[in-house]
Formats: sequence, structure tokens, C-alpha cells
Amino acid sequence: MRLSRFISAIFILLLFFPQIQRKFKIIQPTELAGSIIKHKNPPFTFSTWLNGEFQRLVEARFISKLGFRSHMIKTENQLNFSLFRQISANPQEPIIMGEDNWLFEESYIKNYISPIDVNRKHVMPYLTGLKELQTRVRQANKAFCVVISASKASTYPEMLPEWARNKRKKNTVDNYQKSKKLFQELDIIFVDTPKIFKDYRKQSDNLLFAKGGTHWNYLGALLIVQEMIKKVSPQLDFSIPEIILDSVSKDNKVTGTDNDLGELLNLWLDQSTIGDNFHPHFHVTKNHNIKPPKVLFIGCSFVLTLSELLDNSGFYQSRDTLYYNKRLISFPGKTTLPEKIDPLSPPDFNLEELLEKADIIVFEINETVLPLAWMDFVRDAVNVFRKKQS
Amino acid sequence: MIFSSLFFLYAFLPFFLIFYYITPEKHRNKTALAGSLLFYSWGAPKFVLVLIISSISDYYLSQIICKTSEYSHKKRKSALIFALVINLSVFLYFKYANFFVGEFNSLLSLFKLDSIIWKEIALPIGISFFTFQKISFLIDVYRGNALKASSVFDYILYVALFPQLIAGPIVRYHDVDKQLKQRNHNTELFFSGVWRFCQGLGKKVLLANTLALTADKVFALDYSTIPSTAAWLGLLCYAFQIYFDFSGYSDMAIGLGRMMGFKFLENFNRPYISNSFTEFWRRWHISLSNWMREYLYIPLGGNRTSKARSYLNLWLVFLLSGFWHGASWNFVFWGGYHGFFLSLDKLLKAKTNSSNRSVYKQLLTFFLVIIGWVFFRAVDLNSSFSFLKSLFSFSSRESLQFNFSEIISNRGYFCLLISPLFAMIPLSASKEQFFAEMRGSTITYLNKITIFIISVLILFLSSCALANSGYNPFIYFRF
Repeated sequence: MRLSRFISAIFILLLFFPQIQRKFKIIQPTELAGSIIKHKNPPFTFSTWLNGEFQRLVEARFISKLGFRSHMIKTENQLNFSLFRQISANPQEPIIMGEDNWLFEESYIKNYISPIDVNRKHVMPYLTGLKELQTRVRQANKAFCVVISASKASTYPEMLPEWARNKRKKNTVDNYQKSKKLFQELDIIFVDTPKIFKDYRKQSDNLLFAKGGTHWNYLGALLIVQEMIKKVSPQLDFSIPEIILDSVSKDNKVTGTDNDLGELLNLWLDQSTIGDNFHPHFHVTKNHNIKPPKVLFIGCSFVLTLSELLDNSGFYQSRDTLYYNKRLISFPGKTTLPEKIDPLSPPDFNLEELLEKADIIVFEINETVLPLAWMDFVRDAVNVFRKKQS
Repeated sequence: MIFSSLFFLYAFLPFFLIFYYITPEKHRNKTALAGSLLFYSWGAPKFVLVLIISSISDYYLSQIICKTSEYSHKKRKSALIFALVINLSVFLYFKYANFFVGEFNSLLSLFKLDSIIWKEIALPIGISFFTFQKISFLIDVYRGNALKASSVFDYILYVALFPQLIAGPIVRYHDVDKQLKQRNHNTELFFSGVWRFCQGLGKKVLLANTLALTADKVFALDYSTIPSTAAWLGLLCYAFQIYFDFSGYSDMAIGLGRMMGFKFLENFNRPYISNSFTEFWRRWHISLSNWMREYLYIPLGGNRTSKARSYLNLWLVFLLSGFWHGASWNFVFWGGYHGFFLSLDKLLKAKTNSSNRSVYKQLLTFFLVIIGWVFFRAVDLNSSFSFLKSLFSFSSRESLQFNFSEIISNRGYFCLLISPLFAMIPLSASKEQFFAEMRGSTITYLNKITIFIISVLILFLSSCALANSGYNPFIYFRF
């Protein structure tokens, strides 16, 4: 009887533990990787109570701040990974584990298996707009270049899980190949990363993607920058620095976004997703004839690796990045994405000023979404140039 | 708010238990009532008034129904009928109005007539359960099987008691009337409630939720192309999912009831080991079949009529039972399917004595029961038949080409493999008997401590699973 009483009291106390932890932080909370939408304080009104919004927000906020939550999440993920070789990830952005614990975003695998359709009639008006942008940028004595970023799934298909490798039909003509033809037809200047990576792989075993990362590593980014310089240099009336690759070193150190997918697994022991990493050692050529340019990047998270590689290298004078054509990250200055962003807040940049400032405009699109991306930027930028050039 | 949520476990429950036990015993019903109404209004704020007002109306009508000396039998019966009509009208309106209007509109469109404009009504949570409980109260009071409610508050407590309000078990009034007035709060019962609650939580979160992932994926596929192996896999997962989900919830309800001093009757007793459909319904959702037998089958005549009539009564009861489960023809079909096999049991005079068990009968019953689940799970009747067709298509080529890893994970396989252990293997004693042994003085401290450690482990693992399911980070935000 006394034991039952004691145990019962312990049980009730255990139910209070998370709240006690939240208040007093008895055990140091552990960080979780990934971006989440944070919940605001729920407003209490009669109508928010009646329609259930208040309750939903209270619960969401309570759970997001629950003590031991990060420990529980990591424990669950570790159990799934260690016992079942299973990854727990956002069902809207699933991560798939391939051979030798290589990680892939599911969307890239899906595109590898079943590429999106390219309807020429539908896309040509947009690509014509992109071509006009290129023309107007050149008329403004600036350089323009599209960078087709490669997908890890198509670059290293042998590392995909067997079911994915077997699912792609032979002789698949994907959206990347179709879009390339359209770009060539319209004479749009582009860096063909998928081809560059395939060619590089024939001559070197150095990896261009990290095992646990979704983006190209710094070595892959460097190859692209070199190719990009070749494309933009002839368009400018001044010389820009070159990037010379001196050597490539190999270690297990993670830099930048090399293990972003691995970190997103939120494991206690996450070493299995870190493998050999290849780091380029390079120098930037400088002399009095060379002028470091001002660069404007537009793109998604692949652009972040390019930016991180070149910031502080002296290659450019300044760099602006329009992340998803909504958030501005600049070098020097605000070089990283803010920790907290209100998804409903409007874009925080002046496009006209950015276009005016830039010597080089780099437009990054991933091969899985080709040929259409950032078309709202294209439309707005063309309008800016039209107004100036009319 | 559901029992298997972090908010319930770590916000509502601990505070409720503290308030409950610091309240003096004679006022604990009021605390339980306040907690229950808060619980219900948290999830269904618009409908709590429906629950309260209809309960008040039941109570005051029951004051007429129970007074055998003051009112004539005719007046008492009229009051009973009136009360039943109110309850059934509310129930039929909220649960079936959308369905009947939809069917009527389909009929109108057949004759190329304009449809009725109708704004769909939301379904109050738990209405199927608490309506049956209210009917149970009214009839028990009429029959004199139970004590009348001592106050309107106690009656509302019976209806709204949060452990069984949302998903049962359906507690007949005469099973708890005495406990509402007086019940024993002791730590042995509380401890047994903790253990029972944690078992239910584990069944729901660790097993049912995992199996649901596969079942949902399979039932979302195109039935015309799905290979039969995948269809069977999905159906098996669903069969165990629904068992662990429902029985797990019942365990949690029974456990919570015990923590408050209530002893509810069992609702599940390893139904998948049944040798016949008759036995299945003595082991599956026992509270529903008890209710159906007592308040529907027996009043219709039960076994006391001709054989043909008793088969018809049985079939009718199960048709209605199917309809009670959901406002859709596939549920009706499911009910009729079970009614058919129950009638067949009677016709063949199947032995339901558990001592004459046979693996073949068990497997056959299990097979037929899970075929029935197709109608329970599929969206409508057409989909049900399409799925059935896919179950028996048996194309080896399609099976070899199908990627099973897309529908089931390693954890899913594991849960499916261990499911029979928890669902079907007969124990040497029932749970109740096992725990009854625990309450005796012969049980050592070690057993209680072992059970407590297992309970805490289940609570911890379930909390980890719940925390993780609610954390869906993006690799990078895209806005």
C-alpha cells in the first residue's frame, strides 16, 4: 500500500517534470537543427475560443516550449535510426537514406525517377522573358549568367537506394535535358553544372557533394564559379579576378552546409552521415588591372554555398543574394539568413538599387525545377531595365 | 484534446489529478465534472452547451420517469419516449443530416431536379457515445435497474466524464450509478489505473500510429493497380491498427477512470482469437454489444421469438450498429456483413465455448473479420469492392515490381510482426485477473516496481514519439 502510494505520487510528479524543466532548465536543453515556424501567443477572444483557434495555438505553443522536448525528439530519431535504419524527417520534405548512409532529399529522387514535364508552348513565353533580361543586362554593360545547379541524385545515382535506381526508365529525357535545348535555342548563357560534374567524375574520385549534405560542397561550388567566370568575363569591359584551384584536401571535417541533411536528422550520434569531405584550396588572382566585381545572385539554398565559398576570398567587392527572391543577404554586412523571419513579412530589398549596383547577375535554377524558377524576379527586373532603357 | 497528446499528458492530466485529490472526497464529483466540461469544451466549444442542455432535460424528465408511485405508467412511458425522441433527434440531426441530405440530393439529380442547398453540419465529438449513455440512463431508470441520479450535476458527470466521453467504453448507467454516489479512492486502484493507462498509451502511440502509416498509404493507392500482396499488407496493418487504436483508447479510459476511483467494465478481450463471430462480439467493443443487446436486441424480441425473427433481429441490430459507426453505406454494409455471419453462427449452432478452440476456426474468423474491415476503412462502397478485388488479383509480376519500402518502413514491419503477440496470444490469465493478483498481499514489491518501470518506459517512449511527430523542421525555410 505504501509502495503504491509512493509510486503513484512519483507518477504524478513525472507528469510535472517537463514543466519543471521548462521553468528551471535542470538539464541543459539541446539544440535541434532545421527551420520551423514559431507559434505566437494565442489571442483569446470569444470567437477564437469558439472556432478552436485559441486552443490549437495554445497547444502548439505549449508543445513547442515543452521541457525535454529536444531530448525526446533526438531520442526518438536515434531509436528509429539505430534500431530500424529509419529517418524521421518532415513528411513534407522527407529525407531518404541511400547506399552507405548517403542522404538525399526525396524531391530530388522523385525528379530523378519521374522528371517534371516541359511543355514548350507553356514555358517559351517565360524563357523569352529570361532572354530579354539577359539582353537588357548586357545592354546595361553588365554580365548575366544562368547557373543550373545539379541535383545530388542525378550526380551520384549509384548512391541512391536500390528501389530508386531501378525505377528510372532507361533513355529518360528529363526536364534538364529539354530545358538545356531551349536555353541553347534562345542563346541564353548558362553554366551546365550537371555536365561539368559528370565530366569531372570521369577524371577524379573527389566527391562534389558531401554524404550528409543536400548541396554541392565547396569543391563543387568552386568548379562552378570557375566556369561562371569564363562565361561572364567576356561580357564585361573590365577584367575580373580568376580563381585558381591549388589543391584539394580530404578529411572528415564538415564545412558550411556539408552535413545539413545529417544535422536535420537530429540524432544524438550523427557521425554515420559524415564521410570524406573534399576541401578546395584556391587563390584569387589580383593585380592592378583586375577589378573585383559586385555580384548579385538570385536563387535558392544552392547559392548559399557559392556565396560562403567566395566571401572573404577577395573575388568580389560585394555580393548581394536574393534568397528565394525574398530575403536579401549581403557581403559585407548581413551575410547570413536571420534566425527569425516572419513568413508574412514583405521582401526586404530594393530591386532597382540592387540591379543598378551589380556588375554581374547570376541566376541560379536547380535542374529539378528547370526551366521555370524566379520568373517573378525576371518580370520585375525586366521592367526595371525597360524603364531605364526606354 | 486527445489522451495521446503531449498537451493532455503534461498540461491537463497532472493538474487535474492534483485538483481532484486535494478536493475533499464529498466534492470530488464536482471537480471531475469541472474537469470533464473543460476537457470537452476545449475540443468542442460549440457543442458543450448541447451536451449540458440535453443532459439537464434528461435529468428532469428522469424525475418523472423514476417516480413510480407519483405518476402513472402511461405518463412515465410518455416521458421516457419524449426523452428518447429528444436524444435521438439530436443524434440523428448532427450525425446523419449531412448523409441524408446528400442521398436525397443524389436522388433529385437522378430526376434532373435542383439539389437542396445545405450547409454541412459539424459532428460533435463523442455524440455517438454519450447519446447511447443517455439512452441507457433513461431506460435503466424507467426499468428500475438503477438508482436515480442524486443531482443534475452527478447526471451530467455520468454523461460527460472525460475518460469515456469521446470514444467509450459506453458505460451503462446501472454499471456506475453506485460509483457516482460513493466510490473507493485507494492507491492500489490508482496504481492499477496508471499501469492500464500506460498500456493503452503504448498501444495507441507505439503500435497503432506506426501501423496507420502503412494502412493509410495502401488505402490511398489506386486499387486497380495495387498488387494483392501490398493490399493484404495494408489490410493486415489496418486490422491491427484499429484494434490497438480502439482498445488502446479504451485502456486509457479505463485507466483514467481507475485513477478517479471508477471501475469501468472491460471493452476488449483479445477479439482476434475468436473462434466465431459470436465470440468476436463478446470480445470486441464489448460495451457496444452489451448496449445493443440490452437496449435493442432484447426489446425487439431477442431469442424469444421465432428463429427467423431472431435472425432478422440480429441482422437489423448489426445494420444499425454499422450505421452507428459511420454515416455511410459502407458502414451499413459492414454491419450487415457481421449480422450475416452472426446469423450463420446461430444457424450452424457454432460452439462458442472457449474450451473447444480450434486454430482453423480462429484463422477463418480472423480472415472473415479482416475482410469486413475493408468496408470499414475504404471511403465508400465502390472503393470497398475495388479493394476487395485487388486483394484477390494475385499478380506475381506486379508484386515483384512493387516497391514495398514506399509503403512500409522497417519499424512498420517490426510493429506488424509483434502485433499478434499483443493482440492474439492468449495469456494464462486475463488482464483483470493478473492485476487482481497484484492487489493481493502475496505480490512482492519487485513486481510493482517492475510494472512501474515498464509504465514509465512506455510513457517516455510514447512521449518521444509524440514529440517527434509534431516536430517537422524544414531544411531551409523558403519564404
